[in-house]
Amino acid sequence: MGDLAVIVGAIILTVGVYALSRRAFLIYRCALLSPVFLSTLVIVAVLGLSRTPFARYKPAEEIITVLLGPAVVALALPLYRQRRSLLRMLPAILAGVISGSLVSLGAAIAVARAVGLGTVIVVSLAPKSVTAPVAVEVSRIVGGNQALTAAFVIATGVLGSMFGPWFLSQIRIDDPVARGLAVGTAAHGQGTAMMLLEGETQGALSGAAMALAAIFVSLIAPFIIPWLVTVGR
Amino acid sequence: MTALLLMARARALCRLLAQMGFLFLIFRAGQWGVARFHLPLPGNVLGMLLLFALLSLGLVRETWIQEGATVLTKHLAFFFIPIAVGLMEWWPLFRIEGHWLLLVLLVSTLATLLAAGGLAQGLGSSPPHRGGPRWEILRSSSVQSSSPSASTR
Repeated sequence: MGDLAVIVGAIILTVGVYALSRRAFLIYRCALLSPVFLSTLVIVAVLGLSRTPFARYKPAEEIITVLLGPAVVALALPLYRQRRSLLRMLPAILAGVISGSLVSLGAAIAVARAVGLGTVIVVSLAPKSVTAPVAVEVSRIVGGNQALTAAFVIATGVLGSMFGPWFLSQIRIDDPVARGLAVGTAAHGQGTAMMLLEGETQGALSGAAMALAAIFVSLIAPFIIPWLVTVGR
Repeated sequence: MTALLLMARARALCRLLAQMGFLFLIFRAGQWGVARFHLPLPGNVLGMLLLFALLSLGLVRETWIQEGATVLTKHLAFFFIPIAVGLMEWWPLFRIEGHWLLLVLLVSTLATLLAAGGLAQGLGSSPPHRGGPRWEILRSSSVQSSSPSASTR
């Protein structure tokens, strides 16, 4: 098979699997059917069974992610439509994003240290809740491994979008503002994508929280991560 | 009849592509701004803030980007799939330390959700929701309709 055929095939596969898993998710509303998780599983299985290395899928990835930038920019529209309620709740939003980001950094480092992971892995894990471009930059500054951080960011997005909405329902957090905010703070763009499926308020708040968490973490991480990694040692 | 319908379809598609192109330009402006002013932000987030400012100032109308933005945000999850497929390259690490990494990610993600969600709900001025139809909104295409829960608050 020629390279072009592989690229076109990979894009068609990705679109098709996504369309089916989205439909399945909208019908059954089950966390295991989260579109990103299920589609990823199917595509990895197809690549694995056909003995296709990731390098051959990579060009398709590059083509599809061209639209990720404008898609994140487009989140300004739900944000703009919700601007009045956002402004009214600014103190609650800031408190939620700041405390959530601090807990995210602190809990990741504390648990990673407790189970005895190496320092480079601990540092690379710390910024996993913020959007990939920021997390990778933070990782570089604090001496982590950027590729590893990117992997943790994606894994966090998968986990957060799969279990986040379910977990919030379990602990009785059912205010749409709080739900969107929590998932955007914990699971960046992938979480936001999931919250957009839940509703416009949730999606807008999630997008806002993602942006605020990215700003906040990029400002404090270079100081707080090295401190958390060495404190009490 | 069908020719007219096709023309309308083609026009709607062109409009959609033009709107996406416009959003792409804003994204590139965000990337440029981050590089130019050495901001500790990713270009896409700056682009989002930029578009928000343009909408707020009335320099860009909602109708200019509405269809394109709706399609892109509705299918935001799609763009993350190929990135997540890239996780397969990290299989050797996950096979050795996977259980610990999973524990770290899960504990910290749930703790974050609890802290951020709990605090926001506790401080929020909104009245408590009595198990409202949270999932209903998307069924009738979420993004165009303004959410009732937001306007009544």
